[in-house]
Amino acid sequence: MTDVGIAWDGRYHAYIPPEELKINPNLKLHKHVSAKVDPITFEVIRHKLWSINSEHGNTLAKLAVSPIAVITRDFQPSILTESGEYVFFGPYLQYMTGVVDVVIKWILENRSHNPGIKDGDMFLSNDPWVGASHQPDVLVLCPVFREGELFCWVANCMHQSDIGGITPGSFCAEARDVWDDPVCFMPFKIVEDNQIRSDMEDVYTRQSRLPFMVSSDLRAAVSGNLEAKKQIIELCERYGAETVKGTMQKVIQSGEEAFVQKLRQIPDGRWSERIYNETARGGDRGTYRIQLNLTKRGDQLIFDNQGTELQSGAINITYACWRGTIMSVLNPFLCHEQMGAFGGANRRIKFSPVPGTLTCANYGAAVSPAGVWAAELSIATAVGAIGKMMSCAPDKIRNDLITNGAATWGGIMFTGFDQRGNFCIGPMTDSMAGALGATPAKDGITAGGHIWIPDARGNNVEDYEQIYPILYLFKKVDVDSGGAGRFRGGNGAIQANIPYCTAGLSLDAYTSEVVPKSIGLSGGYPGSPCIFGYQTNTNIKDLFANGRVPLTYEEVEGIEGSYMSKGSGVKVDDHSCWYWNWGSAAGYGDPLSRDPEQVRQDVVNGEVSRQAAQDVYGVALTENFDLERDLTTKLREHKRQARIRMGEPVKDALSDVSLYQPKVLHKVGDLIKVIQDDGDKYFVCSHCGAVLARTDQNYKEACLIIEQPTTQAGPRYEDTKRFVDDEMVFRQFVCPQCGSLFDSEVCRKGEEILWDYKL
Amino acid sequence: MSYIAGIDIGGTFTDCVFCDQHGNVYVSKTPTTHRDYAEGFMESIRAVAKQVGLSTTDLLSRTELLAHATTIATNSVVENKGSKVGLITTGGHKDAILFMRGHGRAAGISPERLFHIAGTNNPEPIVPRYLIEEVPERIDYKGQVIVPLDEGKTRKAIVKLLEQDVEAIAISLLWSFRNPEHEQRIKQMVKELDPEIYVTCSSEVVAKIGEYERTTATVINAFVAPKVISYLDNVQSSLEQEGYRFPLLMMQSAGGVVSPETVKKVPFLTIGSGPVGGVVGSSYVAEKLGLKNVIATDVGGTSFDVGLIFEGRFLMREISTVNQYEYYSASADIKSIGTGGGSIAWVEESSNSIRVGPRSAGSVPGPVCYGKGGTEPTVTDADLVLGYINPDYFIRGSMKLDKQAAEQAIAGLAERIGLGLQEAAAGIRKISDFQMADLMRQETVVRGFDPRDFVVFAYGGAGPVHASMYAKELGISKVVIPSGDVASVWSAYGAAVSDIKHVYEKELLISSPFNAEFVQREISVLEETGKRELSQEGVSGDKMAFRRFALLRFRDQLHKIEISLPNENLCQQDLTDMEQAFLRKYEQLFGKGTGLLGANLELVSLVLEAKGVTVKPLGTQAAFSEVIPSGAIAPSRRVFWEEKGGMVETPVYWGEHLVTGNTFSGPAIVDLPNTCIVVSPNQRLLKDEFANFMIEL
Repeated sequence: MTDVGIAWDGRYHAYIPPEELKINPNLKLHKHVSAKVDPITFEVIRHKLWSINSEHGNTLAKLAVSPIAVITRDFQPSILTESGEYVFFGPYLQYMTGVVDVVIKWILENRSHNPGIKDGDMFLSNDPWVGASHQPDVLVLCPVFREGELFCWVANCMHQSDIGGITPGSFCAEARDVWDDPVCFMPFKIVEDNQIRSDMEDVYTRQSRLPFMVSSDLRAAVSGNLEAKKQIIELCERYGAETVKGTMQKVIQSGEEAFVQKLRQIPDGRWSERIYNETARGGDRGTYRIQLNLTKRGDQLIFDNQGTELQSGAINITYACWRGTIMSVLNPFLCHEQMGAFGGANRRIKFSPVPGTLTCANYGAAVSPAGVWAAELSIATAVGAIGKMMSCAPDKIRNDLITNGAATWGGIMFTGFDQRGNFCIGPMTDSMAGALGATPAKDGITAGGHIWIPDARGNNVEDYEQIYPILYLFKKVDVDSGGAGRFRGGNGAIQANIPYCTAGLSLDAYTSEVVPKSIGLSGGYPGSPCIFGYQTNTNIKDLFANGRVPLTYEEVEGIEGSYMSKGSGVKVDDHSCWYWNWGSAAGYGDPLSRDPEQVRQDVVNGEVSRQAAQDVYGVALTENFDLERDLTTKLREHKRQARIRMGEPVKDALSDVSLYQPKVLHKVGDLIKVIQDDGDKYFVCSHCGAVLARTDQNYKEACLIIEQPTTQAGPRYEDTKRFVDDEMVFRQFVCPQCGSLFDSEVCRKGEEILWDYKL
Repeated sequence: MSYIAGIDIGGTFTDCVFCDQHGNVYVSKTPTTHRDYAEGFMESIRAVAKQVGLSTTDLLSRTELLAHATTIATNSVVENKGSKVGLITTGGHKDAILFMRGHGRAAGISPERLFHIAGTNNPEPIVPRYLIEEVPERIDYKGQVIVPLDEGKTRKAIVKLLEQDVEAIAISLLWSFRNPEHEQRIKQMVKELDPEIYVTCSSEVVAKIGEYERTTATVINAFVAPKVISYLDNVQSSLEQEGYRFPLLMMQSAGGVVSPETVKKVPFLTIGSGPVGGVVGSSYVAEKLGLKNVIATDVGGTSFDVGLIFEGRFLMREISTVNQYEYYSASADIKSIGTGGGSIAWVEESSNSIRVGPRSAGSVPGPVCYGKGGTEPTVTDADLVLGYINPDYFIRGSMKLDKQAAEQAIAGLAERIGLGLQEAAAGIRKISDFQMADLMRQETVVRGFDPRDFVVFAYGGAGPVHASMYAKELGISKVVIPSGDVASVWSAYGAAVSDIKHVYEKELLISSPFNAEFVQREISVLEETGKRELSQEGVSGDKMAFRRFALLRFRDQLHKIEISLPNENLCQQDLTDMEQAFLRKYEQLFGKGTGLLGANLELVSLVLEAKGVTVKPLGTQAAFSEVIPSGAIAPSRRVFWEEKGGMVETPVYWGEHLVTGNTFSGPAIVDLPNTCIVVSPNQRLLKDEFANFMIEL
């Protein structure tokens, strides 16, 4: 699966566990499995294991200190077998599922000799090459022993408020390399004989600007593991270790079976998604391509990142995080019935990364801001590739796909002294309210959260004004921002803040995107960008004195601050104001095929403006918000014809194909179907019946292509020239016969058309 | 002869209980009348009057106290059938209630659905965007006015809402709980423009930090108010016509009753009050029995509810969820899972195993054995097949259960996974019992308690059927089926024995070191309010009782712990004791060494519980006898016992005819009119002087 010559050992290249782990034979693994656990005992123990893990999550939520962890549920408890296969993990940060098993396998291979893995131990690690998602996500891993044998593992991973590095909050946007990032701790023993080792705790917390918080969170992590361990041992005493292990294995096997059953309903093929990041670190004006390809063969999925460019600046992730971002899409899309028992599906997934790339960086690259940029971007490619595959599946499966939310976690970190004079680092978690994408069956949800963290929430304004020296001017829905489509994406939000009761603050890890990344599916438009801006020397205090709180950023007058697309260290004082837009979610399907009545409702509910209803959806309303049906029909036909006029042919479309006894095999996206006729398979427009291409061809090359500046991707996109040198384009692919919109992509001008449906 | 009564309107049945001075208890269970709840309310009283042998008027004119729990407020939110509410809020923040902190999709949904993101949605807005008006004003976190209220624009906003025929107006401004001046002024302006309209302010509803949960509480309050108020007026006038002379006391989620006048101010506090009645009833009986730690368990048709009583006091929570809206409401902390009598058993294909729930057959169509069209086997069907339930004596025999149909349904499922009928039925029962035990364990352990230090109270239609098994699973040694058959209408009984209760909270958010004088001053203000409101409700000074608490946390930590404070003038030493108690409790909860000595503490808020003690029913002081009356011996039946390896002919008793002091060992079944008690082998049952059935495990 991966290149044989590469040492995937977690030193220079990331660690990728081999099929057979090399474990010191002195470490006895519990391998006795009761072959047949009766169905009742199985269900009782299965539920109990789920319950133990759920309780572990509750303990972390109750005990953790870091606001980012507590509010956003940026943590993950899990139970794994003796050799590191998942039994259960929780409904919290999903990309952490790509990392815990990898770190355990590394520990088994690298720590079983020296210093050994013993009963009463726990290991700590945050090393992204061993397997952490990025340095602030710290894993605490606890082996569970039964009669001298390693029975299983309980573990948790939790985001820390500050773990060091050149930027407070540890998202080091300006990091040149890993030596500017927080220190990487390869796994070491933090707990021996069930006690925290104070020497190692000091080594660990010494790195942090908030050692008290880190120390408290460590205790939360240790307590969570200890209780989970105790309960698993009790379970073994009650039912016998073999029966408990038998249940664990059956949980994994049945998860595998359920996954296989789904895969068998999906045609084989290869699907790809390609997205561009901008600005690798402050001052840089480059664009960076990441690509994810998914090959499905029978009952196996293989992911590779061919086409992804070389690691650069601070926008990289390592193997484990990349894998986690893919799993965080698979979990809710294809494995939700398993309630976190993902180990079985995992057996059917292979990963084949190219090292030294943006999504599989080698040691030396800066990766600490992964949680803001690179991880979310990688999730967006996974949504694209997996979503495209699911769009070829029967409705029951395809309707579980969700288009992209924001492909950046727009969370500014601010640093300074609070209203009580204490040093503080504040992570703005408002954007956890997020925006959910559309599905093939329904609209996205404004403030519907994120797919990669099912149980998260954003902060209250008052909670933040109480603990941090900031004031909110407004926080409101960004009307029309959701990607248009037959089903539209949830709207994003905009907010503005000022420093309050403090001399000033430093704003870090801010983002102002110009390249669309939250790509829609099947012709749906992209979600809106995450936008940042600030002004100094503003008139805010005058406005207050005159009895006004500005309700839009435009009402604030001051000196526009200079900033980059990504960066840190923006200084604001108490006459300044910053603005922030969370970004919205993408749409699904051609907006012209949206039910006009739904568009009318959108306008009534304030989700879509009257103007956008007309311009984007081709829906005309009277002054009283009644639908003008005839006018709407005409408007839509006019728009389809306009597309045909604007579109350029790429290659000649198939002509003279006469179908004799066409049989529909399956859908592709929203408006294409695959039909079989006399042994040949074709892509056909579902709207007008035009035969586009054979399935061994890229159907997009048979479409008319409309290539426009990215400002046409949505109402919030400004000219990319502001932050990048490459010319970026927004391409739409339409039916040459009827003008139906099939798909879109964003890329550098002149780049090859992405061949993303190979069936 | 005088009576004390409680009535609980639930989704399916209206439960009614009357207790007389001799300890006689009369119970009725009548269908809930959804079209007009008051009709079913009065009907339930008529049903009891018949049993007592009095006319309804005679019964009610002799009733000293009538307490009431109702699901009306809950239903109007869940069904989105409340009033048309207009919301007035701070400029720039109208979307707070619509954003729902991004958690509206996931709040309160079952864990089975949490990962299925495409299958979840936000609830319908309880106030649509077009009925939310922003007004120019701003107050900061200290309560200082940054921008004064613009009255001209506010007036326009109010008029705009009134022109759209809103039926109630909610006002919720940022930081109003620190400085309610703007909210009060807006309220006054609304009253000037429309003296009749229902208007409610967030600072009056719940003065706590967090605009989302405070605004939802306020809007929900406005949403349910007109309906609850008109219902209350309706019922009160019916009661008066029928001779009842006292105020109708209303159960609230905090676990106490209040006067109708108080309910009209904050009707949303009645949401979720039904299940709370059960915990209050348990708390009352536990105190009589000298039991301090209780896990109160209610097994109904669709859910299993758990509440905890620790050291004599039931545990509370500050945020509740209704229809995926999270809102502030001091409530008894009751956790629920979708496992009940109606939970459906099904085969999970990939593992070829049985799962139970969370889907439920509910009351319609109900379990297969109800014969109302249900086809999928449920927990109740399993109970019937295994012989626990008497098919001829279900709800006093008013409903015949179809055992054969239940057997067929379970046999179908058994065949698919290669089990026998009994094996599968026993499996369904075991899986559901263990799910219940898992929830009980989570609820205790996550708070640092050991479940073995608790006694289980079991009630609800199916509680007594399952308690001996789920309690045993947790290593618990005693189960109480409170007041026998009354356990089947336990929430109504709980309402009847509830004291008047108000919970007041003052948020302080101050860091240590704390000043005793300041804390005393703040708590005195709460006490004054408590005394005033209780006396307005007719509670005399000698019937008032107060308990004080501090909510503390480590600074920068979000998790709060409740510490009780002495009921006297606080001195500095009391606060030192409070801090030490916090550290002790923290380590009890989170493990030794988890508390960081020397870290600053934050006093988040002071809480005062003000109680007005109400008149209570007398227990039966029946004569003690070990001899089981012959009339109490029912025909035996074959019942499944795992310990015995299958179906065994088992003695059955008529619970109503057993007398105080009767005791026997399991295996045995006690049939009661509305439930039955399962006593497993090696367990022993005793009927005590208060008509409680106690099982020693």
